[in-house]
Amino acid sequence: MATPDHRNARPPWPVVAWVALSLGMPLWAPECLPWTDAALFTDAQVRFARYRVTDAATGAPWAGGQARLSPRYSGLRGDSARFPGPAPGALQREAAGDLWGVVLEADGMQAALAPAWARGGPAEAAVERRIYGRLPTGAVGLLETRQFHVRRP
Amino acid sequence: MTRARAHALWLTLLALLFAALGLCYAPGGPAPGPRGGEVVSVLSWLPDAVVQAPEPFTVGRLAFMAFGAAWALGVWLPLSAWGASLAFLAVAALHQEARFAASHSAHLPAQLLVLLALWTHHERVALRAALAEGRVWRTPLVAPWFWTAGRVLVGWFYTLAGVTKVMDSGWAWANGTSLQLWVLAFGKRGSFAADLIMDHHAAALALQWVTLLAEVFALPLMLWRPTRAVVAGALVAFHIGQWAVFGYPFYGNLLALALFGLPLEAAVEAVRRRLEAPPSPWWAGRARSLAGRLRIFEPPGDDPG
Repeated sequence: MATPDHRNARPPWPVVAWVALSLGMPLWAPECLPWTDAALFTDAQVRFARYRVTDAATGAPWAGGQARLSPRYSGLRGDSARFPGPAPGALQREAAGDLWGVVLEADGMQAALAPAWARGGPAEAAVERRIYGRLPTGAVGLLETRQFHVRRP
Repeated sequence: MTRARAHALWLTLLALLFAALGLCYAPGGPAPGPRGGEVVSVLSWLPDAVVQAPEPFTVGRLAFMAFGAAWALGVWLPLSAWGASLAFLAVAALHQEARFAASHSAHLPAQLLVLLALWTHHERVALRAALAEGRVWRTPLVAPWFWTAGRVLVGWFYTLAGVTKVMDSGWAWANGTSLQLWVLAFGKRGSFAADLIMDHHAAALALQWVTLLAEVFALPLMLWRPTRAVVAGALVAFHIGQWAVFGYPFYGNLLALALFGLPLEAAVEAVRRRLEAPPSPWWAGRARSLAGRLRIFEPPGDDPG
């Protein structure tokens, strides 16, 4: 299966260089590292919100609003380094540090949807907000559902 | 110091090329707006207009397909190996530059493709000869340093991922809650694994701890033979679970763990021996044994009586 060979004694220098380059990445390229969502979801007291946005007049889903509120997240190295600040419709970690996922009220929704509204959309949007978090049983699940309307600014 | 045959490595290379091809077509459109100033890839120096245009992706993918096919067929060595590796690096870097969500599944395949290209380059003469004579599967072409280098790359990748979690979030990262929320936000509800995680905090806690410990200590555990298969098996299980629950396929990482962590080499060698052995149905051994006892096939002259 295997035979002795004098070429086995040591690796060629390009292989050594490549491995050294990889080992040295934390020093020379920290933003290129395989950061794997390290900053997310660390707290026991958590809540996060999901939204469903429809045209208040017709009840049809508002695609622009959905896209704007798609569950993106920020705060990740690598992912967000190129695009600082919240991604569209971001689930942000709040400054308090205990929460992740933005629980927006009507004025916050109006601001979040403003860029989508700038490209068109219904005069009034119906928003269904669902807040998830820790249940008394210890499982994670739906805590609260609320509906409200937001007018185009 | 001994060299091993290249069959497991060559099979992995073929599979890795397929996996990399899939990664070249990772979903996700270009992010709008200007990029920030931080360096996130080797192509950070390219202007926004270039990284957000479709043409560089197309060129990179076509180059990867052409060079990758040549490499898999064993032609244009080692040019095809370098072409495929660098084209994949370029496409992965463009993804990193142009998308919101970085594809973590491309990091390790990129590192390993370069290592395989280095091996192909180093062994190009022997490899060409073995390919030309159709004996690449029987020729010892893989030096021990290849396995060590691969294990360092694989182990270091996971150790960095684990240490980063601990540095950024502390050991509380593995509190179970984070996994439950992640499943809630991005997981495929209704599957056995997802329901187990959501309904049992202790299960989520255990899964996260096993994953975190396997990641943090991956480098030493991959380099130490007695623990190698254990840590590789744990990480393989983690990736399969991640695939089932979230739909994140880390094909390249699974291949890397199998090649450098699990006894894939021995398994492929066993299959090869089985295939190369003369046909032997299940009853052949018993028939030979019976024939021996009854002296059926013994020539008449051998009978001492």
